[in-house]
This record gives sequence, structure tokens and C-alpha cells, in this order.
Amino acid sequence: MSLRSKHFCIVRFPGTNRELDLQRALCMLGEGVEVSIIDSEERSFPTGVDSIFLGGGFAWGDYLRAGACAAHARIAPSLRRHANGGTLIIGICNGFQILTEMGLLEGALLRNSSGRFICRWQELDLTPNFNNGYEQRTRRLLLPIAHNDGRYVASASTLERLADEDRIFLRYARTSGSSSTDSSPNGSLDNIAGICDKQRRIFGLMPHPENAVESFQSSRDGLFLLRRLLGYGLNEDARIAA
Amino acid sequence: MKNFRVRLAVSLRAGLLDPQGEAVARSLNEMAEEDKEEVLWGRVNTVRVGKLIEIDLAALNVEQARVAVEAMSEELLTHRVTEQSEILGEILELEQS
Repeated sequence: MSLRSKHFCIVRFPGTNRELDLQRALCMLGEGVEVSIIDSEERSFPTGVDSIFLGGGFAWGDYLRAGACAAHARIAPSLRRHANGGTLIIGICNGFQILTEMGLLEGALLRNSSGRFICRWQELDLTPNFNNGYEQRTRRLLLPIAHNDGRYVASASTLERLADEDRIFLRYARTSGSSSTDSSPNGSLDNIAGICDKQRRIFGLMPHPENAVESFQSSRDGLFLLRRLLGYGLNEDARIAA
Repeated sequence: MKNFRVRLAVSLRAGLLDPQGEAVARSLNEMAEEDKEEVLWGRVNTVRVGKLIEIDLAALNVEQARVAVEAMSEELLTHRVTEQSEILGEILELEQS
């Protein structure tokens, strides 16, 4: 099966700290994958890039607000042009915060409701239909989360639009037996852990798929999710599961 | 051009949970509970924690300094969905250095 996307680029801001994990995870996706890392002080992306990743960490120290200063980095105008041009863009954790600060995804990510940094394995539900209709049922995933500012908030009208347009692709899962409707570890509205734009080209999510790719890591669901986000086929998924 | 100092207070919008403020309120109430004789306050109902941003900038006049900081606030300093802000007090004209 040929890969839809082969040339990935990760942006490294001052304070980004998961770019090497992400690079390694992306290289595991298949033969011929090329993953470059560029500095956020660059003004343009390498020629031929078809997917851009903003990874985890604390870009510019998360000063002012998480992602606020990064949203105005030198690379930002070029990132915006790529977004408008349809390049696939995936923001993970701090990257999700940066995408909301840039206004490329709606809503905002605020301090966790507990006031604590949360670092643990988390069950999540991957919404059916979000990706090319491969699967018609919700898929449960186990992925690590590690964040201080993961409480997703948006106006009531935005939440309604996200739901109507089927753009909430990832939710914190309710543990079995729990009667509470709030299953988020951080106070996110509607248990939202990941959303995408209307064209399904820009994705933001709080968990770290790049840290669930090896059998010794409790879960390899991260590879599954990355494949889904990148539009890989079911056969590839089956190979990973095997 | 003259130099001005503008102080902008940024805070979470009302209705949004402020875990920092809650933790501070809890600490203040515990202090009052532990040491009733020394502490000067009774029950604290709410604390909201925000940020104070002090900006020294060059502008033609006070009004231009205000307009500039309002633009900075909208573009970067204050989040359009989750935060509110206001310029505190008078805008000071600074001595030429």
C-alpha cells in the first residue's frame, strides 16, 4: 500500500521537547518516509513537505499563555499559508495549543481543572467516521497524556458546530462502571481531547501518540492513530496490530 | 515621540474555572481557620488570579499609547475567547532618559 504522505516536517520551537520521539514514531510508519525537523525561526518549510507536525513541549516557555508566543514565531506566516493551501497539519499537546492560539482551530486550552500537571495513561475514544469512513464504530485507544493546560473550552455555538460537523475526533473515554458524564481528566468540555478543521486537514489533540509506538510501552495505539490521521488504509492498521 | 508606561490587567472571563484562584482562596481560608487571632480576614469567597503586564513604549501622545496597547491586547496579550483585560489607572508619561 502506498503512503499518501511521505515527507513530514516537525517544527521545533525553543522549548519543544518531543520532536525526536515524534520523528522516530513517524519513521516507523513505513518505507521511504522522510522526516525533517526545522527551527521555528526559519521563514519557510522545505520544498515538497506534505505534512507538518507541531509537537509537545513548552514552546517559548508557555509564557503569557500556552502556545501564545509560538503562534507568532517567524515560521507562523508560512505555516498559515500551508494551512490555507491544504497541507496536512497535526498539533500534538503543545502543538494543539499553538494551533488554537493561531486561530487555525477553534476554542482554547486552559489550565487543568485540578490545577495539577497530569502525566498518565489515558483511555480515549476515536470517533467513528472521522477518517474516510473506514470504521463505523468507536475505537478505544490507550495513550499517554502529559499536560498542564489541557482543559478544552469553546463557546456553546462553537461546540455545537464541532459536533454537527463531526469534527470532534477524539474524546476522553468514560471508564466502565462510571455513571459520570464527565470523563475528562482535565475538565474539558464535552470530554474533548482532539478536534479537526472543517476540511479535515488540521488536527489538534492533547495525548501523545508518538509515545505509544513500541510493545514495551503498554500500547502501540499511537501508531494506529497516526496512521488514521495521515489517511493510511486498514491493511496497514492490521499489520501494526499483528 | 515621548515615552509612556501602560499597565494592562488580564484576567480569565467570569464563569471560567480558575484553579489558581481556587487554590489561593483555599490557602487564605486555611490561614484564617488556623490562626483566628493573628489573621485579619474572615471567610474569603472568591479569588481570581490574573496577570499584570507593564509596557513602556514610545508614542506621539497618551491617546496613541492607549490605542497601541489596545491593539497589542487584541493581537496577543489577551485571549479573544477566554480572557478580558483593561488598562489600569492613568497612562504615565516617563522622563526622557
